[in-house]
Amino acid sequence: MLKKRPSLRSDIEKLLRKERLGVIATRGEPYPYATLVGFSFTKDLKRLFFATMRSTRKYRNILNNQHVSVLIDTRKNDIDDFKDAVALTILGRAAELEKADKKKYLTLYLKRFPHLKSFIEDPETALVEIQVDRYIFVRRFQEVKELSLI
Amino acid sequence: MTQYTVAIKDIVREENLNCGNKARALSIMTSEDIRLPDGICITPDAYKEFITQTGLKGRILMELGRKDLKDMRWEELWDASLRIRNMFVRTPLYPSLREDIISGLPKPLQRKPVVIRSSSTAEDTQGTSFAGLHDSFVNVTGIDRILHHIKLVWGSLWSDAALSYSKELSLDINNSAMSVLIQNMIVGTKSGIAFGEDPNDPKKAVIEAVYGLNKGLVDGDIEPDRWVVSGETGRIVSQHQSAHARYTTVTTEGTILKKKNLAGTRSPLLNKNEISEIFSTLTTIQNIFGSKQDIEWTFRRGLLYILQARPITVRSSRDNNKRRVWDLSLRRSIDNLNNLSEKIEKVYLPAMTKAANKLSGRDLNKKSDEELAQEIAERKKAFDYWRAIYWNEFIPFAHGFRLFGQVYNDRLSPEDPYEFVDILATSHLLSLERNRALESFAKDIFKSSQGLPRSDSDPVLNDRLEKFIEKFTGVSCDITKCQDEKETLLNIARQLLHKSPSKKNRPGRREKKKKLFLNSFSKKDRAYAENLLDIGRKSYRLRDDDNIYLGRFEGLLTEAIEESRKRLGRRCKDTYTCSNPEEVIRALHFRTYKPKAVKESTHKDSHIKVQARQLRGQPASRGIAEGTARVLSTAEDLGLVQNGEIVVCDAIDPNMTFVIPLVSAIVERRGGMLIHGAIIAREYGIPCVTGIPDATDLIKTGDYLTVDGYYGLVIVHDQKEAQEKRSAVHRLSTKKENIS
Repeated sequence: MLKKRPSLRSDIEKLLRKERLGVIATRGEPYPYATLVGFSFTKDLKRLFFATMRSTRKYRNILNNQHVSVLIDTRKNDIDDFKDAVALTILGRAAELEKADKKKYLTLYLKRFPHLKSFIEDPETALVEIQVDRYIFVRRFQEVKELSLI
Repeated sequence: MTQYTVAIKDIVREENLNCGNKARALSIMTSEDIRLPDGICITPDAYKEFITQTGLKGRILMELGRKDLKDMRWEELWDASLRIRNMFVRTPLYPSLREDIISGLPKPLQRKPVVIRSSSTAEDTQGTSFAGLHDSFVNVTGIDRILHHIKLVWGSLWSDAALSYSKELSLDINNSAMSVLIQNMIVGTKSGIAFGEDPNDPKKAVIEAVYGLNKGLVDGDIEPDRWVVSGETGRIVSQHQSAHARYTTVTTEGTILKKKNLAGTRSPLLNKNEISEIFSTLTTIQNIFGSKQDIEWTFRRGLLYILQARPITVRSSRDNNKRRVWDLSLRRSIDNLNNLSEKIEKVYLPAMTKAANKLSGRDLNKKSDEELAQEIAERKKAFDYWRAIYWNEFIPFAHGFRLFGQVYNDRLSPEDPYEFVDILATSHLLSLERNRALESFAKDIFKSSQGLPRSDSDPVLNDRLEKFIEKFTGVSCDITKCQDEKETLLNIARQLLHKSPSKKNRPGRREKKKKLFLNSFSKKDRAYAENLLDIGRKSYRLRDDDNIYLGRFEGLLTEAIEESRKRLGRRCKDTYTCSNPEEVIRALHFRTYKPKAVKESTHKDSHIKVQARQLRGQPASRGIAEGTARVLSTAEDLGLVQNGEIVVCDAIDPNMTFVIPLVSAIVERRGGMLIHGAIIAREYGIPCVTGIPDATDLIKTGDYLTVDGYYGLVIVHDQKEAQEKRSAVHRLSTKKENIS
């Protein structure tokens, strides 16, 4: 009897809960621009959030092109990674949250990153929302599955 | 002592050295003046350095990463293990490690026959005994052969049996290691085991003895003489004498089982003094270790040598995983396989054919409901009976080609660990015979028909189709029955005429490899090699044919259930309602009874928008193919298969092999390199990937796939890519047509 694995959705949720940092790639000219951010997410997996100063390159890039990609993974920089590490590529559209929405999702963000309270309260800091279109989940080095939300 | 070797007697003094409990026990016994063969231990650091320096560590890790070990079937575990073993065989010892081992090996051991034993750092601990999980080799001579066998022992850290106990062994690429014992070979005249505690009575001990070496006894091939003695005094309580018909002795390399001249062997193998000496040594050893022990011993020139001692555990009774216990019981020796082969060929297969013939050809139409119920019961009983034989006798016989494959790889170190399959494959597989018959049938009927023939409007064609179905499935058809089967056959036959020729196994290459294999043995051992090849071929053929033999009984049962469905009418809501024979029988007996549905198995992911992009399985037949997926969920889907499609299914069963000549690749949920689908795929030279548990859920009919049978990968292209690829294929075929 073949056993059933946990669903892809629960694998993704588990990873998002476990990891708190990911690499976001924004579209710059001429180079794509990758940088590390701390993220939080909604339970329905439809939204991710990260905080950034408005003066950053990634913020400027997002103003020009909302399409972003985020990589979240469990690598330990060890040979075991090729067997055990899982990676999640998130494709979505990013935009700064308006004031009312920012208030709503700030609690969620600070729950994960309480030590960033003063950073997030800085008037220059934007809380950016990523509306997720797709999750691409990679495990066992080459097994790739996609969860589409659009 | 060198960096990577230590004398067995010195292990006990090296507190920080973990050579495994087997090696430590030998060292302790040597220091306590128990007589043992001399030898050295190659430390686990040598293993660790070897896999690190050569990159094997990463390769093993990647192999183990294909799938969770706990989710693998025995065939998949064996496949993974075979691939890892082949990595060790093909990876040379780098010069500094080679030199270190050679300089640590005393000169007499370099010249004389030796025994090479595994001593894993995890086996044989108090409370957990995992004897037999790793390999040991008897009677190996010369530096090169010793070094080769050291690698085999290292590779056996990842044997299929060890993989199935991976959790208990805490088998792990970073922490697990294997040390190797190289000991002087003691060719005893009689050997055996002594068990410090009788499993049936803890106050008693057991001694068993056989002529020659004790390999035949340990492998279960030779029945030993047996003495039950008092665990306290050694007084003989009972004794059982065996036939002494066979014994194990050395050959050029390794051992061989021989028949014994029975003259003068009627008296018990051990006299009272010898039993007393064995018991007294066992007691001494138990006192040394402070626990009941299981020892192996041998007598040479009247002197008793202890070969091994380990604490007694009762693995089999503690192991609640019945499936695993059964899996491990599948390992058979060549002698055991020879016996099994004879039984299968001479007894089971003729009996199966006879039983199936007896049941087929009965006119179910004319039976009353009561009689039909009886017929279903009879057919179900026959199916259950032969299915049990299939599991208990046929499946263990499959170890024949596993054994052959292992020996082939050890001797020839092929790049492809499944190269041996090419030698085993012959054109006599029943499913291939059937497919050839279908191809010739196709040519015949389409030549004699105008346009597209239809079975319902052509009585001659109808008759031929019925005869074909009856011949290969045992199901009897008439004008009203087998309509779906007939249409499916016609559709396949039609397409067979237009398919491009497949790349089949070439007999010339097969013969060349066979010669290479046989020539790798000395003349003295050639008979053993021939025997192994013969058993390999028979078991390989049976692995395929047994499905067809058993399939006849399943077909007969289905035929009777189909007949019932027609009679039960609306009481059978759907296919699942009337698939349980007991339910159908009850419904035939009681006019108002409505059969209960068998639950349909569901493997659906809870989220509806999950899509596969790349799925990893096992590479079961080499090659790369692209094409449109055809997911086979029901028998009706078979008739829809189009030329060049890629079949995705639970498992290829004998009723599906009709379509294989049409398809460009196979993807199966069921795992294994030597399962039916993989065998057929190799025969037709098409790629096959097996062991993707959610393949039929995540792949949809119409998806465009790339199947990589080298790496075991299935890529599901998105619509845009699929469109581009289809257009490219279309352009190519148009160009070809224009050229021709």
